[in-house]
Amino acid sequence: MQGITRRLAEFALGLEFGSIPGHVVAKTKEQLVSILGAILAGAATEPGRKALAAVRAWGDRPEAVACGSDYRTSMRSAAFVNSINAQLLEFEDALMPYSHIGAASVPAALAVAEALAKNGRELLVALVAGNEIGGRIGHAIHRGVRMGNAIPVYQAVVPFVASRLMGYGLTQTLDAVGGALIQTQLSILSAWVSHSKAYLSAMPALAGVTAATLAGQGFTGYHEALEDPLGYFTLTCERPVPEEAAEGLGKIWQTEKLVNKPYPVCGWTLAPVEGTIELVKTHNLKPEEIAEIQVRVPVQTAMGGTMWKADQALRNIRERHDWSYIPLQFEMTYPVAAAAVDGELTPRQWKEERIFDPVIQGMRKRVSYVTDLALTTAYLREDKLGAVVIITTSDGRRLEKAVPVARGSSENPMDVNGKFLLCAREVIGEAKAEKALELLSMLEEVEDVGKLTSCFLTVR
Amino acid sequence: MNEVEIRQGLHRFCESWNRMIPLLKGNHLVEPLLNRRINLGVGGGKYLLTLTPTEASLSEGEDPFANASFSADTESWDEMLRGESNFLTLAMQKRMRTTTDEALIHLRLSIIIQLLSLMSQAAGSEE
Repeated sequence: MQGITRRLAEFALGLEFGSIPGHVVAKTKEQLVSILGAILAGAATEPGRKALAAVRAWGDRPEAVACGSDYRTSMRSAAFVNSINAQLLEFEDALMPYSHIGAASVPAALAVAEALAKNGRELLVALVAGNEIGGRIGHAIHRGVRMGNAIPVYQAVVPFVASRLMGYGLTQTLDAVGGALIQTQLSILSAWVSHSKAYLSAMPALAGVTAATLAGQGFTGYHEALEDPLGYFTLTCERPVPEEAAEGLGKIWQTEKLVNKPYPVCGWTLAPVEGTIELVKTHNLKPEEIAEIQVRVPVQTAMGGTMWKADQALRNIRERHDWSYIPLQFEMTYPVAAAAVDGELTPRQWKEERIFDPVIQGMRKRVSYVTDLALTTAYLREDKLGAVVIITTSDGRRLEKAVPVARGSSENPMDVNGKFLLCAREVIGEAKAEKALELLSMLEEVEDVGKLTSCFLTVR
Repeated sequence: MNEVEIRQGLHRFCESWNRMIPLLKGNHLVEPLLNRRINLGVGGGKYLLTLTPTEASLSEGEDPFANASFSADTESWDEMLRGESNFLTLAMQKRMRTTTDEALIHLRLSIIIQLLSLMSQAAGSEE
């Protein structure tokens, strides 16, 4: 049987725009809009600005836009820094149930497409190929002890995406994949407390584009990196099923399962936040009117939400240089409390003045979680991450909102343009944000991706 | 929880295992634990946990030929048995350590303890 790496490479290189169903193209455009919003939001954060300053100082040849800045840099550095900013706020996407892809594939594809003056169709095809490959690889390596973003899919996606856009043949693509995976990356979960959690996607973006660039010069890479008995599948999962990585290519579209995040928070907490915001807005609740918030969640959400304890995280954010807001994005009480008090969960709620706001902190003590069998079953059978939010008001009313599946999925679509504008306006201004959305809506007709990316510069 | 209560909690875990094992047998975290004997250290107490495809059992003492050893203080066991923590989260707080040889057993066993505890709570919350 033909090797998995080769089959995936042949798929990535052979995929044609005309063979991709319209709804898959539409979903991929939404992914692009959503991730661009996340990148610009990340660029406006303090760590995002630091990353942009560091990459500017590298002084690379100007090939691709560092989004949310006033400069261009080399395509691999653009892929790197834009991926940092896509990841910084936990505002990216997930391909249910096991893969995170867009925070690396979108920055890498945009940078290569701009540098090589590719058109919108070529960009979309590369992104679809990345989703299809990444979604399958996530399945193949999910039977281990890693969950969520710790399942290291990005690094196996970017070299295929970059090679496709670079116009490579099979040999060069396999060289790129082998090069990118020579030191397969795993993450130290405890280290997600620091800004460097953004390297989860950014290092693979850098490695993938770099390896693809060298492959273009004939620099060889091992051609069976995924399926080798000591290769990527074995290194990343205790019980991999490599065959799943190539099943149904071109027939079953993994992209359909893409969830774009409407809120900057771990995917497990999207439904609790959505239910809370809806109740607060519907009933016009003031913080002092909320006596208690109980959230019913699947068992998996409760398990994910135990990664960090809020009290420990809050103490360490104040006392330790290496801790940031990030662990609170994987803890369940702060995001719900902030959503209840502010009626929103946006990048603003990850600033210290909101995190340590006494009203939000008071609300946090009134948030509790209960595991729910029906929601657990819905997740296990249908990959649906839902929640039921129950608010008891200080005058004794019991308000309930069920969110069977969080917004951002195909079943419960989100307003990705709204997310993009929220994030983009303050960074690039209203006019450029609107122009970018216009180009994104007609991306199939855009002849040069550089026209789109130039919108993301902060100067003309 | 004191040591006696932890022991009772471990017995409850065995009961949950025995109830749920027909459903969990194919699970990628459960399957590698089948037919394993694991020495458990609870404070000063020593117990042997034996996991088979049909039942889990707990006995006093330890087996020098067990597949792994898993020790924690009573506070950590308390959190694991109540579904609030697992080995991963405790290690992230520097409260537990492991070796490469034993890490997978520690992770899988503690995740299953947490999962079964939360499933029991979910079932209880609907009664």
